[in-house]
Amino acid sequence: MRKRHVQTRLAAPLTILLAILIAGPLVALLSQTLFGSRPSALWQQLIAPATLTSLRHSLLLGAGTIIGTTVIATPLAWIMTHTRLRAYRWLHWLLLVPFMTPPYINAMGWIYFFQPHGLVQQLLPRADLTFKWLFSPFGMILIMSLHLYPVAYLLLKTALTQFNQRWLDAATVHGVPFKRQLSKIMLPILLVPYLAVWVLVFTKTLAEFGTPATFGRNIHFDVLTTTIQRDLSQWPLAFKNGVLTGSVLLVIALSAWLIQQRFLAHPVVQLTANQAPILYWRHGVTGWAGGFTALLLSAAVGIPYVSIITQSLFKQRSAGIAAGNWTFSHYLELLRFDSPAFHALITTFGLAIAISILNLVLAVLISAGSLSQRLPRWISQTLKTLGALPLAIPNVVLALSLMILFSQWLAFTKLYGSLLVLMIADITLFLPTSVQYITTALQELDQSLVASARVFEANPWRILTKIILPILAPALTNSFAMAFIATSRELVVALLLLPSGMTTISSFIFQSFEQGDASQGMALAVVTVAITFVIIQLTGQLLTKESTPRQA
Amino acid sequence: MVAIQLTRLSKHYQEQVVIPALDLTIPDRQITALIGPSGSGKSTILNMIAGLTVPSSGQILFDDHPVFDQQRGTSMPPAKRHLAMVFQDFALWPHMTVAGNVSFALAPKLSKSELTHRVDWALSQVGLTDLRDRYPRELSGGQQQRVALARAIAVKPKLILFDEALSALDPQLRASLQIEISRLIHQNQLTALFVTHDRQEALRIADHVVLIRDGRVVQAGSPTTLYQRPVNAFAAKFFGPLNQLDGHTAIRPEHVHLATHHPEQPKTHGQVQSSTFLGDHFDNLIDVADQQWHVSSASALPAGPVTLSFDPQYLIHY
Amino acid sequence: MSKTAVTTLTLLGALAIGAGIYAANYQHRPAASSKPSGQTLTVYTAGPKPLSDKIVSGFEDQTGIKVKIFDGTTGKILSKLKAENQNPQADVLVLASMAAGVDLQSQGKLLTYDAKGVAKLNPRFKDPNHQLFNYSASAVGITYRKQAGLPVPEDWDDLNQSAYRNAVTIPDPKSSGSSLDFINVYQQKHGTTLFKKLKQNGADIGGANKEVLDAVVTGQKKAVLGGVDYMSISAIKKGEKIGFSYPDSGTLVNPRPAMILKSSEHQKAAKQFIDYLLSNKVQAQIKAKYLIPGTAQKLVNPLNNDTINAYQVDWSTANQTLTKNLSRFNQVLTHA
Repeated sequence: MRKRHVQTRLAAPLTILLAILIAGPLVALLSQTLFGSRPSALWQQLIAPATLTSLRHSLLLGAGTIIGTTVIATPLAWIMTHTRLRAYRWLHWLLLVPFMTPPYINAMGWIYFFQPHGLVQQLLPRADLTFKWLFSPFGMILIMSLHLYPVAYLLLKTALTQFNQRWLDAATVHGVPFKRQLSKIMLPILLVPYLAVWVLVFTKTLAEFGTPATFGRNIHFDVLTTTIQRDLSQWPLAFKNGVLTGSVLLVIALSAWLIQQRFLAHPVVQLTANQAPILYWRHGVTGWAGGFTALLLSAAVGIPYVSIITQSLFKQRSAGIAAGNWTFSHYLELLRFDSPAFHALITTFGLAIAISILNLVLAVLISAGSLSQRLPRWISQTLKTLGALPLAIPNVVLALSLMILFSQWLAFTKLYGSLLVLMIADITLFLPTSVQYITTALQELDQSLVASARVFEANPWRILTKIILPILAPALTNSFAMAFIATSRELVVALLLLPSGMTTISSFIFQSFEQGDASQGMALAVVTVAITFVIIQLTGQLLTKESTPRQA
Repeated sequence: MVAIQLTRLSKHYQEQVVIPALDLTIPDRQITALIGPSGSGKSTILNMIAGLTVPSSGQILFDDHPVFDQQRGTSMPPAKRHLAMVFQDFALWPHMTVAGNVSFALAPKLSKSELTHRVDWALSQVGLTDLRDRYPRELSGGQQQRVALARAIAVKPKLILFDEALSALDPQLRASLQIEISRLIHQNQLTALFVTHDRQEALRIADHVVLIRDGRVVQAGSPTTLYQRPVNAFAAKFFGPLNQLDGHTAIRPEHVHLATHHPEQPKTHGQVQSSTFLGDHFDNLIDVADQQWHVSSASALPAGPVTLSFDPQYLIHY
Repeated sequence: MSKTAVTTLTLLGALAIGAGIYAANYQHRPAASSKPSGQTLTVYTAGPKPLSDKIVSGFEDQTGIKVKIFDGTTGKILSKLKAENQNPQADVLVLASMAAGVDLQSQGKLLTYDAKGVAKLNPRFKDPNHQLFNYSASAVGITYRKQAGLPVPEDWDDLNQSAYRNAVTIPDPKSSGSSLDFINVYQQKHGTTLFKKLKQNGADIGGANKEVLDAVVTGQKKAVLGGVDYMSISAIKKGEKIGFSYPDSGTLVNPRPAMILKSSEHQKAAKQFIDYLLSNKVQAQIKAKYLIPGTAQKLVNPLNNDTINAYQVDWSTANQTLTKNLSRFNQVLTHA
């Protein structure tokens, strides 16, 4: 009994502190909006053409990207579950690359590829191709869809794997025609995963900053996120407008999140894998599937990467593709220890390591607390909500909220402008992913495994290090790697909260388009993506090593 | 050489009382089966003895030494109680080899050569010496449970607790492991406490059976006592099918025969309703007065009237 | 690879990164330790980054004062300043827009300092209030692609030719302080006719200075109207196939003011920094980066030493017309 009091006494302040750090900024933002100006002025601002335009654009982009990702991911998920291609693990990983590529780099790649005098026109000078149609909202939706489809693909693939083939077999046996099977069995059952996909894609599109900030700026397509960033960082400032737009974005994102939470809480149909999906072996099917996948990969991976890599290798970017115009100097520049790019690299990785570790520690505490039966209900419920909530907060809104919280409400702490605020932002943003990984792992960590350890071993330290940590290791490694990658490429938070005298990889690349040397930005982008890929591979290998037994 | 004594032992979660106030003695150097329907609290009792669950009040003595005493504030951690445990889902640590699992608890206490020796001994006891470098997931269910058994005996405990240890295995494997466990316990003069919901298993493996219901002892005694002299209807029905003569008298189906075979015994009349072939015998459903009886026979009985006899010394009164 | 090997490698990797961070943070400033002062000066600068890096490290070596810099466009710096209103962090600002400097001056946020070096400044760059130190300047002009069949533009109106149809971009005044000042001052003198014609010829608003220059370098656009000179000229010197002209009818030479904030807690160091900016050493560094040094007595084109025809500007009037001219410009260019 006494033990329980101690636990509660430790957990309660931690929970309250977390609530202040995660929910506090949002409260600050909303009250700043509501009480910062008179209601009539607020309404005038809200219906101002600029606000409405970016709101319309955001919603259009969200809806378009939902359609785009669905159209891409549906056949892809089917191919990767029902055809011979599903045997290739590397293909699965390759298909996820577009999501690992920082979106602003992706978008720059597209621009350089198709712009006048871009790569296409340089390679086919006589074809007289113009790509006006691409430099439009449609092109933006296309780029966003090609960036976000992996999210949809992963969810749909799981759904298709868990779809019980027997449900269709039963229909076939009872003479239900294929069309009716599709409309009355498959669609209703798959509707739940699709709704989850749509909400997730919508939220991610709404929160996206990188693509609108590069490609969107090129075609003068303002969305909510770019409007906020511009209102806050371009002169003359429109601070109030930025705050209002931030609240609008937050409200939309929170609504979408609440809808998603409802879906997750009440699954209409429980999908369980009791059978491997049937495989279509016919050569025609394989060929068709291979063609589709190759086409998709060349658009989603090929175009941006070819274009970024060539840009990073040009001596004179005005000369374009020409003999003697190639150089590695932009890369060599990165290796110089005193180059700003190298500094940015070191700063970023140092920060990413620190943030990932803190993120991991907090995620473990939150997961353990939300699963614990020994803590009072309000604590475990609050922790559970706090662990999931940041998923609904767009990066730019969180950065803005922290700005308000620390520069006005908590100005006496003198913390604004310090690294701590940036770290709070990054830790908060990537908390849900880690919490999800670790909660699942803790749930799967069989209680009897710990019980048996307690029966046989008296030393709690040995139980922790020899039993619990090794069993949790895959989840811990995974969430560390994910947080590391996400932190090292986060852009808009860095743009708004980075303290003086510091540059991160993403802010360096972004500024290299604005003020610096674009080729070097491209080279750094290539290096970053390469490092990301290596980390993922290493993690993957470490994990398979741990889970495959050594044969004697 | 451990006798376990539970005195006024209770456990409640918030408002819900799982074990009211239990007094129970478990004899040493015997296999005691703790049996009861699911939710009866038998696993909670086992976990309290192991130290995995902290009782709300009462006392637990191992050979007169308190390992738990709520009034004195004594509560030994599980590992200090010198016992071992075998779990229903084996609970083998998935990231360690067979040898790793067996040696984990011993590694800090023994020298390297002693350790190798002990692990070899434990594995040879369960016949798994060849699999020492395999990982748990590479083993069959039966092999995994043998590893769990080896892990338990390797620490040379005085007491081994079995928590539904064989429930996850198929019937044939279960039977052979029951014999093996019984041999190991008696050979090494250990005390064992066996929680199960399977009455066949309890009767077959145990020297001493304790029937639990709603956290209370219904009856304790030898398997034959519980089977043949149940103290109440619940205990009587729990251990097997009954043919009721009246509200307080019944007889087990195996003691009822066709009257033609045993003309000297008391007789009763019935109507054969159905006859089902079960391999080594036929099971007949017979209406006797207003009760339904099960009676076995070597050949199928035609529907219609039949005369039955039973051995009065096997009548159960409660 | 065994587990131990993997662990060892991971540990080594972590150590290497840690060592790298240490080295990166401390090793490249050994000279600073020779004159320890414990002071840290915070400077927000909108200058070209290589130049500001050079100036800062020179200053650190000379005085032993550590400098923290924040690089950003003029807009970003002003935004950061506003957010930090309750807890000011910056000591010295170096902006790319004179109008922004005058704005801060009119809010009474600047410290008056009688810097010795001011005497050497070109008279048009002197601030009678001794608050804005125009240590350098940049002019705006026309950046164009050198390609066959494209006439070389010599004045603003040349970009209304059909050869430049849909191929002219103007730096976004919201991202570029110099562009903001240019469109303001140009409208003061000549009205909106030029911008209306440009709009008819398909010109649009681009991004920051570097982005619009990039658009011309990579061929996405054919010309930038109102881009800063030093960026284009250094690209030309690097061999990019572009050209730059200072319009014959005149253009804006925009002083880049440095200033000390009244809220600064390191005023002595800040004053030292201003003195350093006006020193001969820095003035030479400025010239080497193709900016106009504040001490230059004649304003010349770095490519051919021709004199630049510069507008005369009254900056306090310019500060008042700014908002109106900006919204007029946006109206002309964004609405058909």
